[in-house]
Amino acid sequence: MVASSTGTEQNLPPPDREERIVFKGARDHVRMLIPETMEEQSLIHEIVSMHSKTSEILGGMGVVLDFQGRKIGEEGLSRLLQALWRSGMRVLSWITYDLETQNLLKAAGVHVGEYRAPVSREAGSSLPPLALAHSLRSGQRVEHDGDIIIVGHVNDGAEILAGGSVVVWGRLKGLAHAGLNGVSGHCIVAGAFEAKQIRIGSKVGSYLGMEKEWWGRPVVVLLENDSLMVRDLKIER
Amino acid sequence: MAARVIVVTSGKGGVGKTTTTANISVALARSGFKVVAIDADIGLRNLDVMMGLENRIVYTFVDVLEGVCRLPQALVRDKRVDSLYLLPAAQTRTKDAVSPEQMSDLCAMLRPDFDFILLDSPAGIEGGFRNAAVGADEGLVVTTPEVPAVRDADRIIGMLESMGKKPIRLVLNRLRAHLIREGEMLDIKDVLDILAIPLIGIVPEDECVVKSANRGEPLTFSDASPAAKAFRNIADRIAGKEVPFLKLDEQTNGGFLSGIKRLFGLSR
Repeated sequence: MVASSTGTEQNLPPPDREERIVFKGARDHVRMLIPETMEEQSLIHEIVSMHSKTSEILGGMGVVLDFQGRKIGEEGLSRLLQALWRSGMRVLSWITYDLETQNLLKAAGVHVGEYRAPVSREAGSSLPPLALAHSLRSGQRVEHDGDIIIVGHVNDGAEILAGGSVVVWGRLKGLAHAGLNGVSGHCIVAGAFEAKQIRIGSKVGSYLGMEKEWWGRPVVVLLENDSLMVRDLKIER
Repeated sequence: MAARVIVVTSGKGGVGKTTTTANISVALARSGFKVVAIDADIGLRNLDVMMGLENRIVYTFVDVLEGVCRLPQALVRDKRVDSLYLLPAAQTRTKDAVSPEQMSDLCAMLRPDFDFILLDSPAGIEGGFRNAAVGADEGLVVTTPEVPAVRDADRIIGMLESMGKKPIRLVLNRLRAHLIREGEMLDIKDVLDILAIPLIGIVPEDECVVKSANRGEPLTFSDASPAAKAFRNIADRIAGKEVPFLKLDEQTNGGFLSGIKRLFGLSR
């Protein structure tokens, strides 16, 4: 539960020592694990008090705020944003399992979900595409850092893992994963879409089935506003 | 004489590999070819029971490879058809009792004396399958029109292709026309579209198969049942005869007829 408070950091009591924010370092960011049960005023006190320690603890790296299952309301979010602004922290992403909070954060325009460091577009696109003129059978797997083009079918049980986009001229029944390196702007194109699961970047679409209107049709799957979108494939001549 | 060596495989268990091996072996032998059926399923042999020869086994091919006996001593001749032999597997050993090289050598030893060597592969994609397939020239992939069986067949076809087996042909087993009509079973076209290998025969679901397995008398010793006719036609096609699928259609019951008619619009 988030406590209601309008006080400044100077008036706040010291945080409960039993509930401390845990810092976990990653290659390119620091993850702050914030206990769900930590009172809001304690949390704000901790964040604001980091102002003097930001460069010492974070070393200039951005942070991912992991609120775990915490529910944050509009007012609480406003207070958090103010505290973060005062702390001087560079927030890369917000994580919470609470769906309402996720929606609120998305509406506020902040990045929600696991953070993936951007890879320079030039690095991926400099690779030539891998084109295979045959179908992939169950158990066969193709990996390539650039785009992958399959002139054939991708059967159930086959896998394509691409750093770039995936194009399947025939039927896609197996697993296609585009944008494996976290580069945005990639897509999956299928001549006949019959896949049970698809992945673009860190997004997984698995609630797919015959009842979907695009089943068996030519489609392009894109990542838009952090959601997987399936659209009819239209080729203009 | 230089035998054609054919591995009968599927990936998934229980789709009818052993039944297919036994029935096609009998049919080929009854057509005058000299045939040996090898049970390559070490530790879980069944082909001997299916062919009704279990009580005549003295040695197995594992004994041959270990030098315990000579090859002719391990071959069990079927007294019902002079030109049919069984080379049994050891029931008390495991798949790693033999190596792929040994199995390849075994096939090479048998080749000069037979027209056809059929290897009944164990289920799975591990060592047992590889041992069965390594010495073969051709593949006969058995599947039922069910999604898991078709996916496993697709996997095994990919492995056979990578091993250079050619041709690889499909036996669609246990077809139940009423389930296809009701949309509860994969259509023949769907299976062929996924697996993309030539179809060599369709075997309808037939309760006679169960009875024959329990009696140890492969159906192709007679031509009475729909499944027997189907296996007989497959054997003829293996031997190079032009056997139209329509004949199979005519020999089976009315329910099966409509399924086959659909096939004919699509057969390649």
